[in-house]
Amino acid sequence: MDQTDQMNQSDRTCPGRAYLHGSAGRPSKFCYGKMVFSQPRGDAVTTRHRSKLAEALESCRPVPSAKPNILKTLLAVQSALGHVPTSAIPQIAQVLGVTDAQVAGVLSYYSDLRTQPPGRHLIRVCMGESCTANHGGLVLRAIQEHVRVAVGDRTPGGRFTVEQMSCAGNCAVSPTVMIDEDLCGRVTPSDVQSLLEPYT
Amino acid sequence: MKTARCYLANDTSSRAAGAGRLADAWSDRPEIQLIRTSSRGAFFLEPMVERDTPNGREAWFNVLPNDLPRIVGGVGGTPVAEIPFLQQQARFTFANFGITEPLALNEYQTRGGLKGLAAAQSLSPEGIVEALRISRLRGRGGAAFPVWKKWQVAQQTESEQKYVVANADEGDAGTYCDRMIMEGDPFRLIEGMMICARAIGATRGYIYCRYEYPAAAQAMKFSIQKAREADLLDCDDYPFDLEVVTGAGSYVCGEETALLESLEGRRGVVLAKPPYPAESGLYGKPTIVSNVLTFATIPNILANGGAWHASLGTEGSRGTMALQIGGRVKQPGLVEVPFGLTLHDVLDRFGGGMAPGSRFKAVQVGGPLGSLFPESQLDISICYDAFAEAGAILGHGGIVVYDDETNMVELARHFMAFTADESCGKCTPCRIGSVRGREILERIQAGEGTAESLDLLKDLGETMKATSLCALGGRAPYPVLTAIEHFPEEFKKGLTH
Ligand SMILES: Cc1cc2nc3c(=O)[nH]c(=O)nc-3n(C[C@H](O)[C@H](O)[C@H](O)COP(=O)(O)O)c2cc1C
Ligand code: SF4
Ligand code: FES
Repeated sequence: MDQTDQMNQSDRTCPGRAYLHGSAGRPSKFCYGKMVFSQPRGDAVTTRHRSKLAEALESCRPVPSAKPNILKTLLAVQSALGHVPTSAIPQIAQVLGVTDAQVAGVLSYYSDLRTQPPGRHLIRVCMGESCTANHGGLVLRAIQEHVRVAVGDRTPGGRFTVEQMSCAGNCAVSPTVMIDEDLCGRVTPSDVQSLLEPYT
Repeated sequence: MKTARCYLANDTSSRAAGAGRLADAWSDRPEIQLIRTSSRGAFFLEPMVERDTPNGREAWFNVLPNDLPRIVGGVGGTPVAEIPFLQQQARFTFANFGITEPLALNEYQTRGGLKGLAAAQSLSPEGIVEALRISRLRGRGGAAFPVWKKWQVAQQTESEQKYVVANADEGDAGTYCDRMIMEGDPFRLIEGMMICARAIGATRGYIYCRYEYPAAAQAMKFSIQKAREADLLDCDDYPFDLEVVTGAGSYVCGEETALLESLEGRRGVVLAKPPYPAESGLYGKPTIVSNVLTFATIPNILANGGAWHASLGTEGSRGTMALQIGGRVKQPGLVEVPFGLTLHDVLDRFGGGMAPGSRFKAVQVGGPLGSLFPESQLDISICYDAFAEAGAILGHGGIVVYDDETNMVELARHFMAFTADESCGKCTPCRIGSVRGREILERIQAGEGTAESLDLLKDLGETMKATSLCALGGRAPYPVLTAIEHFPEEFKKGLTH
């Protein structure tokens, strides 16, 4: 796990705010600069994205009496596009009538909001206590060896993104691996290959 | 050919154990008809198939597709009433589990559902709060605050708009009873929230459901729609409506003020109290935030009377607790029992001992902020008082067992890293302290700790305990310090001088 953590840190570190989160420089939600300074891949809003984005934003446009809800809007955008491109922040802010910084602040705070497009399939391995007690760490390693990617990253062909998650509420049938919305329980390292096969 | 009517759970964990594969494999088999129920919570037996017999239901455990002939032929089943794991429980809040189809409102009603609401309708708002006072119910979300006191404050605070919010963030690793309720008996949560709304005068409710529970959110949305269509939500002209809102992966959003911030769409940062949400919560209006399990406990209290509830459990902890056993035990699953069993009893009678080939090392109760107990301390009684006295918490009832392969330094590091990741950043001892704590533990792990490292860690822990604004920073040191206390030699191995 240590090794993958390290691999993971390099591209998510925000040196400008290192004092806020210690020298190890983990990804941090206190690091407002993360999205501005980093050079994300695939972050451009494509034409296809643009119309979907407009649609999602339209459905979230607050009625005059209602207060704008940034989180709800970002979740709607993510569900339409698969992620929330940072380049869409000004447009989102404008529709909601809030500042760019407010939108960026919410976007960086919640770990399930992503600014990068995930792979076609999202593999999330539970690192909650019940799963780690049942050797979920070995399952994570087996998955990484199988798809050859660091935690938090996308495979080159874009098939998978591998992430860790905290408890999936499946602790009694652990270790848990979630692939897209499918939850798999009692996973062992030797199950990994057949588990991933259907997700092309 | 006669078709056998069988029951198979459809909740997330049963499906993760293989229930979905069974249903798929048998979907075109004329000899069996599957009714998809909630799970009884004996997850070590899932997928479990049940069948009606003249003497009640019989069950087949850990079923594989080719077990079909045995089940259809009625060979080798075990009467459900004789499953020790279930037999020794006192199921009240979880009475319907494994029996009903979760999304069938009529089944909920047939099995006594909505009786609590009917009782509440015949009472004044003060009468409802009085029933809860007599019941001595304490909140099940972690803080164990008397429910009636909170409700009374919200009731007595004047406002044209009030809210009721179910905390379905269930962030503690090792807990899953809220998920089970939402997926398995959603109308019970709705009923509990409706009773609360009437008691305090709220007309709108929200269920703040974590992002990791898509099936639970879906089940709640579906049942709210059903209740709306059946004119249940705003029955007897009491206007009430409910909405499901999803979070986005933040542990601290389970804290009530952070939850309300998040519900309003902002960063889920903890706010100083007072004012308490019961006085000034969502959009500044009086708001009851309670845990899903707390709300789900309430219908039975109204239906059977507060005194019934107060008759169960121990002096300071009345009623039953939903314990969720996980980790390296043989029989992980949900256990509803009156307060007062010892931890040892629970692990032994329900957990069934350790998973094959593993030896006990420690058990953690109360999620990532809960203390670790070694074998010598398992005689502690499961109730709020005994845990408070031991400086521990029952939290949301999560119990995770670790075996002797567990590296305690790594575990302690994991907890500090968790706090560092999840800290909302409002106060320094938690935001910075957790990072420093993690770094010290990483140095010990690398064999580079010094004689002062452990003292420093203890000092840091005491500072976090004393000066953090909320329980994330305030309780995060407990698992770490109890690990050092009970397994000092593992930590000392990583010190150079
Ligand atoms: C860091 C932190 C996380 C919490 N997470 C949850 C949670 O996931 N679910 C919950 O019901 N309560 C959680 N709580 C407790 C809530 O703040 C609050 O006390 C509770 O929802 C009140 O409900 P109850 O009265 O029914 O217990 C958390 C508290 C803290 C400090
Ligand atoms: S203790 Fe931690 S989580 Fe709680 S308010 Fe302070 S910084 Fe936020
Ligand atoms: S700890 Fe992994 S599902 Fe709960």
